[in-house]
Amino acid sequence: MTPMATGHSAPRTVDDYLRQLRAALEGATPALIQDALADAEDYLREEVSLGSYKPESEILARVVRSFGTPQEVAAEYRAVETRFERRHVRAERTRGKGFFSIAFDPQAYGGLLYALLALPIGIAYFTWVVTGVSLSAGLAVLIIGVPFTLLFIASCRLIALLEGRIVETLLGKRMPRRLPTEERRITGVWPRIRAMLTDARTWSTMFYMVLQLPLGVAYFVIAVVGLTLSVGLVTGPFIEAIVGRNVIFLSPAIDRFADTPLGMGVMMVVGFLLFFVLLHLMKALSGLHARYAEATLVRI
Amino acid sequence: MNESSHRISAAHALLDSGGFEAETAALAVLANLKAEGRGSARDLLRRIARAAEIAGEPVLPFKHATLYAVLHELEFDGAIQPASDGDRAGRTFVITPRGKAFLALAQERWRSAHLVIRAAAAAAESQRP
Repeated sequence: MTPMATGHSAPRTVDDYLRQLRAALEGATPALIQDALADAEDYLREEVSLGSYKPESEILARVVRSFGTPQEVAAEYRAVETRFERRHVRAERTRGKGFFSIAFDPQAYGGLLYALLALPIGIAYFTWVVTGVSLSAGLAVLIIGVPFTLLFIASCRLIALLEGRIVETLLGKRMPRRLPTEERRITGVWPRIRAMLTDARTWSTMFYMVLQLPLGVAYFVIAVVGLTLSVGLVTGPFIEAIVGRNVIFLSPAIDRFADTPLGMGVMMVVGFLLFFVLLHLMKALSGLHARYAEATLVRI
Repeated sequence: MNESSHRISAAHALLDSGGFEAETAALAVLANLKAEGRGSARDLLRRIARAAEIAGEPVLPFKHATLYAVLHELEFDGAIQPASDGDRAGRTFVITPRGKAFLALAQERWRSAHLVIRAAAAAAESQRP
């Protein structure tokens, strides 16, 4: 399909191509837009650099035929996204919607694992940002302050990408696999620093990393309390029988009831149900956290 | 569901949901990664184009952007995984055991599809007066 046939003017420069691609991807998920733009930019700039003796518009006209017009590329990436969603819906349908079908939902277990990892990761992020900001501010008056700040901000970008991979793997949310490419084109130290400091994503990433500490504590507590309580209630009667010692549950009155056969049965059922409630809670929390991560870590 | 049947259903989901171009690109990627080892999107395009040209197909049956797009899909599905090169422009991929299972299934499907089409064409030829 030629650009003329679609009513779009043929892009004459890489920047023009990327602008058209961004426009064609309007409404897609931020992660998809970031990846599509990064892929296209890498490809096009390499092609342009390989044929540097020719005008950019001439190279681009040739490259667009093999790579695809911005509209074709956008359609291809959207098709991938649609297939992701279709597969997700199909998997949800296969699992069913009952209370106990959560047991077969990988996202619930992913959310549980994420909640358990959130505390150590949250501590690491918080420490990194606080140390980095403090040292950047402290060293600002020295020559090494500038490269240090640049390195610190770059490290936050990489951590955001890594966190995106964790979120995608454990929480099932499509996150970028590529870093944004805009800043690679900026030459000079000061323009690059200015671009980094005026980029809202720099600050939203740091905000995310700092907030991961309290959130991580909350997720960890919910996961650990839920797990220990449900496992404790289910296995408590067996452990008492095996160990031969009475384990006091909550209060002496409840403990007396728990020592009866009926009480043991009730405890095990409650513990069993609690585990499923925990899985539902983890899935809901993971969905919310994934959306928050996408809004904070991905810029379009 | 055991691991083998899970792989089969996941492979069918991947293969059934893609368009012809996307499926061709996905299988070309998997086949090339299996045959020639790790490679970036660029390497894959170059190697697949070269192999296709040797086989008498100088024009790839998909846009280059399709290959870039399906790499994300294959990565998400666990059929390929990035080699430890970080996020540089030429980040490289390797095929996973899951990707090999996808490829084996797809090759079988395409082989049988090819046989059916050839047989149908041969039957039509033999019925001509």
